[in-house]
Amino acid sequence: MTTQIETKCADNIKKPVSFWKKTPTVTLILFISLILLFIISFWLGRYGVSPAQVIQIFLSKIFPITPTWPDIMETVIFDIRLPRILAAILIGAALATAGTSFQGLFRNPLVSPQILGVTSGAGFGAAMAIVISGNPAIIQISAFGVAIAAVAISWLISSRVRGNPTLTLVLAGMAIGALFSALTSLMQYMADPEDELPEIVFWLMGSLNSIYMKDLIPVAIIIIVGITVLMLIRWRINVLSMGEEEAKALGVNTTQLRAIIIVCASLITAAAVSISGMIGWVGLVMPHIGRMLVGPCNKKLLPVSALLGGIYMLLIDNICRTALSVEIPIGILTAIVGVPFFLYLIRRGKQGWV
Amino acid sequence: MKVKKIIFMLFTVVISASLLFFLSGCKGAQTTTVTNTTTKISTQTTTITDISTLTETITETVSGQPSTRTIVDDAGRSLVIPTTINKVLCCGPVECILTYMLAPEKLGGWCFLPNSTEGADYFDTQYADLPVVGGWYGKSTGNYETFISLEPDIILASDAATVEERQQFFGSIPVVSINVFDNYNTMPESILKMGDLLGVEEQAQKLVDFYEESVDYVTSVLTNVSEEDKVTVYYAEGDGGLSTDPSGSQHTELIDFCGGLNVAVVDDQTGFGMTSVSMEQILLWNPDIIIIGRAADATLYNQILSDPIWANLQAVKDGRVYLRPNNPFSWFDGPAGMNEIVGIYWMIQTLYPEQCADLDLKAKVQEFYLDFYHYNLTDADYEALMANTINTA
Repeated sequence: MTTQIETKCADNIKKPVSFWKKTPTVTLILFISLILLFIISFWLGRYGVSPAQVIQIFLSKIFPITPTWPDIMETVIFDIRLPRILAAILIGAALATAGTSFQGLFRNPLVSPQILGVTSGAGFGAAMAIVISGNPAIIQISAFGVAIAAVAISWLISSRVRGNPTLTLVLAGMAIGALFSALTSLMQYMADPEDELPEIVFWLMGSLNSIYMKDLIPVAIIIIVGITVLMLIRWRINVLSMGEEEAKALGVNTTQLRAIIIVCASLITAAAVSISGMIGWVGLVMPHIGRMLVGPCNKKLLPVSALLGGIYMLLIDNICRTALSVEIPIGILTAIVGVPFFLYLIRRGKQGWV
Repeated sequence: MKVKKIIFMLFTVVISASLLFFLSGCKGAQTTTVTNTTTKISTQTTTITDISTLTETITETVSGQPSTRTIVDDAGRSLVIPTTINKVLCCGPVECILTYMLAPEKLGGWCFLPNSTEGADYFDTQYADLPVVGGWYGKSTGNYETFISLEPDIILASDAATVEERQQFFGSIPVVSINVFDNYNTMPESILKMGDLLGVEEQAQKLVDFYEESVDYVTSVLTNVSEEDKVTVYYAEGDGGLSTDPSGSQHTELIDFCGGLNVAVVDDQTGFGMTSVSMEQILLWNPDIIIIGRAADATLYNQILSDPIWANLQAVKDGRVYLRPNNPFSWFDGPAGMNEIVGIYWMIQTLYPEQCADLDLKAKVQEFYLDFYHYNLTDADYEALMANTINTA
């Protein structure tokens, strides 16, 4: 795979014309799709609000329109749908960007954002807070804090070990991930089976059901800043994927670059899972679909992955909140819907696959 | 090395900065919620503006708006609710079951699918056909928009800690926090409070009477049981029956209440439930009676009766292994709530059959089902319901 990425990236650099023509179109199409889906999402829901009413309600925030709709409709649009829709896009984009960056950093297509134990840490943080307090705000803070702590521990351990820095980081991440998974199980064992245990289980399944606008803002800031930094340095991720020695030879400070990528990718993943719960699959697979569309060069791949992640999460969350009269945990659907689609793509993809 | 240090410092700064964001964000969220609610209140009512003058009791507003009244709920929030409530939705099963018992026609949907076995659902069609809307009680299956589209007058939430979170999403529909079940002593108070809220005081009083009558019966039976005659009970839960809840837990209060000695005595039980125990420990406890409850069914019942290891226990030798009656709501635990009231007579008879020779359990159960589950329990229904739950020998 490494060699493939290298050669493909090299190809891109050699004949940039053909790819440069294609990529903006793909990005543009995805961007327009996201905007359209964003608008359509406001029309979907168990509570009937007609498209015309949605538009009126939005306009009434800017222009003085006398409301002809019940108060509760504004609650539905602004307190229930708006935070969920924004959260879905942000979380999807965050997980996909983090996944792409980690895959580039570790030069491995099987890497997902949880490689350094960030989601296991979040799971334990949430489970602990559910058992101890049960307050939604504390659950969110605890999930975020422990997630970051897990990455920090993995990193500290790997920096104390001699050898290939990438390999030691992965090993430390795996170990810390396993440790926090076990601690999560311990919390489940200790939880009251009537209410706390199902709450932990449901948290681990992931849901965008109860996201406040107020909770979303700090998360959104972290995610947007993190994604922006990764986007700014995305070209250098290519250099890292050529290998440690080659990158150093090209004058890149690999230690520093690696640190920036890890900090940003971990922060955005931690922020995302702290409000959504455990959501797998998106961070692993969106980069692959992006690669099918625009090739492995991170300069194009990273924005495309982020857009794909946002579109995918929004699509799935729309199903979660409208398909049944009850909520479906999103972590279940991301995989159930995503896996067949992904297998279909692999089958018909013209590119060689690892 | 220098670079490493700088990066590490940067990392810590970023983490603490983002944590600060979180903290400030959450604090901000809480304060705004409060103001939101107050504005909502002030727009809806013109009568009471100074919240601090409100008492803890439910106060009728004296005003030109007799259609609403202001109450203080169990989370200490003052709310304006309609005086006549026609439709209620619930966030959890405990409040849902009590609403069904007191005012079934006002229940807009179930939080969960009530238990049923092979077509016998112990419900009249009109209640069996109510939509299942989920809720937030550990499992968060509730969909806010589904709740809103059913147009309830109020939404009940027994969990005071998260009521403000629910309110945020339900907008102008009042979410009333009501502490439904703490323990057996506070039951009448909770029932009457719910009766007042829903405007069904008479039915609430009827349930309290049924409860108090059963409590009096239990007290009279237990005066004839000396300490040394008290039976020991093991509460078997989970797949293999190797989980239990200790004495003093809310889940097993019915055993303690009916004078049973729960063999599982654990010093510290805060937050624990469905504690795992070993087979050896159960053999050591050697209980007189085994009651099979949560997450277990007839399979476990048959397993315990046929397993050679369980056969060593006094309870199995005497044939004193009982399933809990489970339809339409459990009589004992899962959930621990008002549904246990009918279980009081059953539990006392199960533990002390000789002292309860005068008890007509069937009549009591049929009375309860007719009055509070709104279902005419036939003799055949009763037989099906009570299979393996009482000592027929």
